[in-house]
Amino acid sequence: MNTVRSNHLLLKAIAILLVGSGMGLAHNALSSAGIPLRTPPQPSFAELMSWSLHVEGLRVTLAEARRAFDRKEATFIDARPLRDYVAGHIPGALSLPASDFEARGQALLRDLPRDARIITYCSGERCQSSLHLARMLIEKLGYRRTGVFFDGWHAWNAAACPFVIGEMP
Amino acid sequence: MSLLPKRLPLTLLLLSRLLLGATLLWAGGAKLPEPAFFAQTVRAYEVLPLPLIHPFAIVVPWIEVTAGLCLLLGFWTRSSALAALLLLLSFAVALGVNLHRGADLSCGCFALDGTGGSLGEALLRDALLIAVALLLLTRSAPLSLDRLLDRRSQIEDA
Repeated sequence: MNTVRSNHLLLKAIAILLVGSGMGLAHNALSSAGIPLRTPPQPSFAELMSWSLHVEGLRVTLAEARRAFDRKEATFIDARPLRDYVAGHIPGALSLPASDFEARGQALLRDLPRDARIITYCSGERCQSSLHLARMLIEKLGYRRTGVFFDGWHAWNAAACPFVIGEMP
Repeated sequence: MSLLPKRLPLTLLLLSRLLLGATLLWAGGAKLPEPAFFAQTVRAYEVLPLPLIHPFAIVVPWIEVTAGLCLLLGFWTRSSALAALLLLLSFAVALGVNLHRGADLSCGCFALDGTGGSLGEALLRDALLIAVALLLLTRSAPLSLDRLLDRRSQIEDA
């Protein structure tokens, strides 16, 4: 009786995983919030870094970001997941996670002229979404004056710069 | 099985089952309406290979909900605990790797608003839940559907 039970233990656990997966796939297929099964590709960090070296004036320092913020000279775009944006972001920054670019990018920036200065950021030096987003803004939408605030949210926060909590207005 | 005392307080087993079940149900329920947000979270952790990110984000919240419901009802308790253990271990790896990297992420364990706490807190919570799942794996819990069904089949056997 007991050995039969322990065999069933694993089979039933697999059944739970399968039932859960099936419901997830079904919900994703039927829901309007569904996402494609195939994950959209993202360039590698090394690829983005080497690209960034060839774009003049791409790198924005903390001091430059702060100046642009104070003088309202740039539109900041937060490339982190929405959850992190909601938890705290640069005042006035728009939320556009790099993975949402295809879906929402163009609509979000509809009213922003092509020669506007944009500064993207993500959590800090180790994240790549700000670079990825900047590359798409430059290459796909033609925002040639886009810069990347490499040190990102981490440095902004550490320097006690102003921030806002909550969703996009 | 014999590592633990034969007679664990029944209330401990019951509370463990309800705690793990409710936590999974809450965590899964918060994530499942918007797979895109959870996919962002999974991507930000930078642990899974790219082709697995979306499938993982689609499937995991529903497995959490399924295992959570089973645990709350006490149906297939030990198997649900095993399934939960697999999830919790995968979360522990993702959290541990990013903690080691010093990544600045919020955990994204429950909802979108960053209420899940820091990675360290999340890993601690995950470890606690792993202990609970291991405990439940060792024996069936009281006041469960499993017990009820067991009793019924025993009566039929007799």
